[in-house]
Amino acid sequence: MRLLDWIVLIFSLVVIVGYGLHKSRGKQTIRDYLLAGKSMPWWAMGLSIMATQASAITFIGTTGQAYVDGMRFVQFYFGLPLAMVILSATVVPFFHRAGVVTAYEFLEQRFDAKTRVAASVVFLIQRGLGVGLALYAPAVVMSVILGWSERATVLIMAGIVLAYAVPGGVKAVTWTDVQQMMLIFLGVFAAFLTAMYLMPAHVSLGDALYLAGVSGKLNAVDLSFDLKNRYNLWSGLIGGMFLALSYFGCDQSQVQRYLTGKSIAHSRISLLFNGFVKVPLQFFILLTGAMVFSFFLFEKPPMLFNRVEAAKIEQTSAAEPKAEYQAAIQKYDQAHEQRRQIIEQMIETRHNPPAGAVAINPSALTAANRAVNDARREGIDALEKANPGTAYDDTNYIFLTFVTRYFPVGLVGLVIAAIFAAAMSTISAELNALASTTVMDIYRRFINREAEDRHYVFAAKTATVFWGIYAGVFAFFGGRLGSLIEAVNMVGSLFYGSLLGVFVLAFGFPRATGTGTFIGLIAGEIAVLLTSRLTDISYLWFNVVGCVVVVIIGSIASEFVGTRNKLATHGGRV
Amino acid sequence: MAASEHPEHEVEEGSPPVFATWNRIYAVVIGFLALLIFLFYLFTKAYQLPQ
Repeated sequence: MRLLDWIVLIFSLVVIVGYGLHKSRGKQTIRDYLLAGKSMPWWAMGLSIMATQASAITFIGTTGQAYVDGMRFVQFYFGLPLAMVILSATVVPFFHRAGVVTAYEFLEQRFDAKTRVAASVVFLIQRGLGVGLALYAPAVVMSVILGWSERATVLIMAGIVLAYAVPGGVKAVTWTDVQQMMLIFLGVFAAFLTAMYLMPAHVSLGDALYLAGVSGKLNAVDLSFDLKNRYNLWSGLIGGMFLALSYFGCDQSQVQRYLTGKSIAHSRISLLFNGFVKVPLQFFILLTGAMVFSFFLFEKPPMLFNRVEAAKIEQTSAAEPKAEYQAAIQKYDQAHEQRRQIIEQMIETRHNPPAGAVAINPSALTAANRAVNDARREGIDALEKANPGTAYDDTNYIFLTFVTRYFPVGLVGLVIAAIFAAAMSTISAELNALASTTVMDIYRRFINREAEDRHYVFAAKTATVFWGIYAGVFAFFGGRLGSLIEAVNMVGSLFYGSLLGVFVLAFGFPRATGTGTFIGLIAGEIAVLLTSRLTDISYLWFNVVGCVVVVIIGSIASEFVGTRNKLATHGGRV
Repeated sequence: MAASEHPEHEVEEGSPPVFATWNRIYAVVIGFLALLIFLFYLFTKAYQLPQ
């Protein structure tokens, strides 16, 4: 990064934080601090909802995903608009009318205290680990690509987030999210345009799309039904819808965003806005990744994008893997050059179809791509041989390598600022939600029920600092956690479906009882754990399994145990 | 049933900004999703390797 990049980065961060603090100044009650006094407009909530979901890894990983695996990941988001409609029609009015601050508070109104505590604890564990990862993951990538200290990056990011999230509460978080989401939009748009600008002069957008397409990178829709296939139309529509229902309907980090709305209508529109914009946005981010792939067909990319790991194998004392790695590099260079020649001929044929001559079959590019991938695979095998027990994956390093090597000065700073914005918007919303649940569902409910309002504001600020420090400690030791990181990623899909089942019983089954629901929750968790252990079913389907089992077992058990409350006999209307 | 921990408050419903009813807005969101999936399908077919 050069001076202008630093200026752009620092200026962006200062403006965002300053604006958030400015908009949140004034005296605060606990409802102001945690719900912005129910004063937010729909567009601010809508952008905040999007910014909370879009973490730094979503931004840099999604482009890398398109480079490696094509655009099929966009199907993951197909269920989201459906979930936004369902939540707008059901959950939003329920939560507003109940006057709750957290989603789990509603569960006590509907069932009992144990269901509220169970859901709160699941959220605190799951989101507590998640916020550490949200801080750790981008710090690792930036340390490798930009050479920054991993711990300094963690400290700076956590420090900036705490600087506005602690004093300003949800209002500061939401207003900074608005700015951060605008910056993310700008960063994505700039990245796409720059990728196109950097293409060789004789390569048009149509050529770039053609090359990405025949290389299998524009596979946006797959109609086949296969439970083991992670991304197809059906897993996206059904599994993705259940995941989005769980995330936006039961996860306090999202529920808190739309509970700050001026009215039920504002909250509904904020969710529906997300339903409108999210899929095209993800498509555009993935398309940018596909264009990065096309760019690297002409410009030789590094065989391994994680340069720290690449340097390690080049300097290793283990002779065999080192020799294999060097042989793989030679093979890779040759394969890339052969592919480039094929591509140039394909472009030439596309522009000036030779009369009577045989055009190059696009499948020649498939074979050339395979040769490049095989050489890269051999390099990765050598690296993994030198470091037994580790699995190499450089998907998250591809986009930033492209940005830092080829982008003009100033734009690098803008993209890094967008990545910072993506990380901070997620982390601040999660800290805010963790503090809300800690104070409202645990501290105020079970420890200190009668304190003054300003005491709870102080408690919420203290809880935000606590969770910020917790996330920082997790991120500091992230490198030593190894496979635990993967486990953290799994935790979400293990719990979300069952939690959704609890809320489905609460909203849609008037006969459901607290104890019956609790039994259903335990049964749902067992079913999800067994499914993940004993089958090859893709993780998106875990949400469906958990939810369905909780609803079936919970509604049956409710016929035999527990008592129905007044809320339920009135059709759930509060 | 536990009482709400917050004092009773007025809830402003608000009306749909366009299309008169919420159900129509929901239909537009779902219709837009269907259109996007259809366009993405055409996009996939247009650029995939010729069979």
